[in-house]
Amino acid sequence: MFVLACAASCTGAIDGVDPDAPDGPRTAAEREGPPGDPLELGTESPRLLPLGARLARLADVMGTTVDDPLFDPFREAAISLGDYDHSLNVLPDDRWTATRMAVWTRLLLPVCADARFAERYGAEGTLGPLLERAWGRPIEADELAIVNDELAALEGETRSRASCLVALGSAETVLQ
Amino acid sequence: MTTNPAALLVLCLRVGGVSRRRLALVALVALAGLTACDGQLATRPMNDDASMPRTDAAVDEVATSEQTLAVARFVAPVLVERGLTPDEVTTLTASPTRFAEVVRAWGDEPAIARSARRLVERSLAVSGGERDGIDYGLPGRLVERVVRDGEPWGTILTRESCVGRDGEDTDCDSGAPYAAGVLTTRAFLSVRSGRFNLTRAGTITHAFLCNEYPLPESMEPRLPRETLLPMFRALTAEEQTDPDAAMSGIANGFHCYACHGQFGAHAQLFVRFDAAGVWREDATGLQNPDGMPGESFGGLMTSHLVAELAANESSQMLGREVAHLGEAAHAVAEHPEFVRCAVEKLVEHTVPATDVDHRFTRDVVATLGEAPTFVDLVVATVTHPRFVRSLATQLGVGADSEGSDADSGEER
Repeated sequence: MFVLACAASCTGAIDGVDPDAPDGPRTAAEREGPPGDPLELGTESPRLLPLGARLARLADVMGTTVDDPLFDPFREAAISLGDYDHSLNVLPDDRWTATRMAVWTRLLLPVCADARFAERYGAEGTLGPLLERAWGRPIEADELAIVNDELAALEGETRSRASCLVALGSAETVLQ
Repeated sequence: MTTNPAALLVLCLRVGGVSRRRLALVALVALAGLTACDGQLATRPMNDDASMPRTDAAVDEVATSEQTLAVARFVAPVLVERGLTPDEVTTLTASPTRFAEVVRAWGDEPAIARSARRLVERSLAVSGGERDGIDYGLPGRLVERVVRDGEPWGTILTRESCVGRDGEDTDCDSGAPYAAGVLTTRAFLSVRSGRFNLTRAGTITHAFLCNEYPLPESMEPRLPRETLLPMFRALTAEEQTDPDAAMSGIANGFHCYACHGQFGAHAQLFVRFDAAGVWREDATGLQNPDGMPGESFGGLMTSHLVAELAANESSQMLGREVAHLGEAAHAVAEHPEFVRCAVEKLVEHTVPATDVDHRFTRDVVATLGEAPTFVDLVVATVTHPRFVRSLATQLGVGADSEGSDADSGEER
């Protein structure tokens, strides 16, 4: 370990003089290039939102507060849903993996079956307001049309629950 | 119910370059029973390139309401764990210049303190409950308190007390006769323990100064060579007189002093903290002949310095002579690179950025007063016109968008 550390770190200049940088190493600020975008948005993978933010969206959909007991199972499954705990050697991992999707969806089922959902969105699920709350943004007409088309064959309670799962199980609800 | 919830699980894992619209459709596609997707769902034509601004010169100084709303919607869940309220949408729609006012109000919400806590916990790799008598939640609670009480952000390194599980101030738990905020918690000290204390020293440089060794001499003058152990003062193979180091074939002496002349100063601040993070008055800083290189006695680590200096925890930090880690933490917190680094970390925390421009972070710092709070940093960073314009554009909301995402073309 020591030798590796030494080898890894002994790359600087003799007495501060590096032939490639005769003025010595520069601070991060000095290493900057010409002005560009303040940031480059990573596009490899969207990032999982903090569990609190995800629960806030569920609460907004359901018209409850985040601390409603309805969401206790989510809190109890925090690690399975992507939370971290270094004391347990569970490191941060912001990926929305298949396993996490499975847990999330299983936990959504009682939420979608809760009477408060039907009260707010009707027996068949009022899609527009539902999606707006779940996704935190205005919904466009063509988006709504696509979802409606997909749910067209469903009726009553089945449609209501499917609408709920589409809205709350969507990547748009859980990812940044 | 005929819908198979399991179908929802068959979702894209690879969504790079997928528009937000497409992300929204992922579950729906799964619902329809598709078993694979490749990020090419709901293909939609790109905007006309000619209509998109490409340079700063091509856009107005102030972001549009559409851009501001897009950015606010994007960052709010990370910073305050919620979407925008109807009032906030109304305000930003009518007056995007009031974005700073909206974000400033987020500072009153407990969630922003939790966000700061996540930033630090992830940066230091310290979180959780108690294990082996060490409270891994201590650094995080300290950060939450600093933010909630509106203390300067630098206080995370200089606070004299920690915060217990009961929310009351309590001594930080290392037992040191001084305090240095999160640095003098056993949680930080134990997870960053390592031979010669290199990991602890390097964490300060990485996490709080966003720099790497070797630092510029102007930022951290090297210790006099004669104060260092031979293996660290070496500049050439001939100077590598330590037989163990020379024998390794890797620690050959070449340039060692360039980095360890600075490493040594920072590592010395930890010479009295053992592997479990406990401050020990009996530390010698001397190499244990029966241990691995860098290991001293009783779970302590070896000093970089010669024997007569090895046990003395007074050292140097960023050119300032310091008596101990507590004073060193003040030197870090008061250095200009600390706030600039905090802005850089904040950008990376708030958006999944792969690169943060140094000139931008410096520009943000220039707008801040002395000893900014975390909320000051958030307001100055995420409401900075360059940040808003850049992020909005990358989200597909250009300066000439007309009100809705529908016009914005390709999004993340």
